Amino acid sequence: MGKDGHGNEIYALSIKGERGMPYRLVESFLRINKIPRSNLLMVDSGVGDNFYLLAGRFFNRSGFLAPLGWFLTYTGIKKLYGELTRLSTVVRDGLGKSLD
Amino acid sequence: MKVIYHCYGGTHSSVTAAAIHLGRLPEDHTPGAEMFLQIPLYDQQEACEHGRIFFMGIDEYGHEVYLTARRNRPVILEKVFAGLAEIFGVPASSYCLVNAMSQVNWIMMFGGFLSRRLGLIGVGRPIVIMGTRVAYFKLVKLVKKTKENLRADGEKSSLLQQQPLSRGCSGRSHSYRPASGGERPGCRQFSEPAIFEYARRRRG
Repeated sequence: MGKDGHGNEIYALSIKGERGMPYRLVESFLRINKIPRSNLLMVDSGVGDNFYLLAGRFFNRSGFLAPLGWFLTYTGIKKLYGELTRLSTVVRDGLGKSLD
Repeated sequence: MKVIYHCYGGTHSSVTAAAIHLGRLPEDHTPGAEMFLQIPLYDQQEACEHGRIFFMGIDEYGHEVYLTARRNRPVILEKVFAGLAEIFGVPASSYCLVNAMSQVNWIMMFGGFLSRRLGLIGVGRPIVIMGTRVAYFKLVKLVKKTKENLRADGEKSSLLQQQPLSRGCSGRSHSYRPASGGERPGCRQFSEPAIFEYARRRRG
């Protein structure tokens, strides 16, 4: 996705309904390749998904109801935006403090 | 090279394939039930451990053999590996994912379901062992094919002095080798702090 102010690389990962397994896979990957766990921070940004986002996701898949899906997704993101901002601020500040 | 056998629950086909690979099970005849039960992790892994990669041993060529469970999402395993390898500059030629699920029959699935999902070990385990015995030579064939590929890759690497390997195939095929285009040497320059999992604070 890009780099933040501290030079940290930012990525996005879709886990498609699986919550625990991808974490264990990532942990195992780091372990077997002897990469320190501190090199990677995983942030679950999907735990606050609201009804609008879930409904939007559903309608986005159906052809003629896709515009309704987009509207619901937009509404869902708007309602969640404050929380997402707080989440990213907390994470970014945490990284900044540790680097200082 | 790290060879990672994967299947739905990481308890039967991948464990058996890894054991054959390491020579803990014979290639020329079907072993008895007691031999399967002596293999570590056979019909043992719980759902809460799915995704964890277990080390099984080192084969005669020095390849590290692992196994993992990826439920019915092999694509997640493949993409997580490909993505992380790209991020951390892990060479594409350093690991090989082998899908052992392609050799699984319905007897194994039924027995595995009874034993692992429903917890009816007394009923499910003999059924899954029977299924494993039926599928045994298919697993042997898969392991032989994997070893041949590894040997060919090794010879090619030594001949061509580690030139990029050919692009692999993903999905339901037997094995997956990530594209070498994803390699980013010198990318391991992270100096960020240690927070692995962020526990989200709820409102209120």
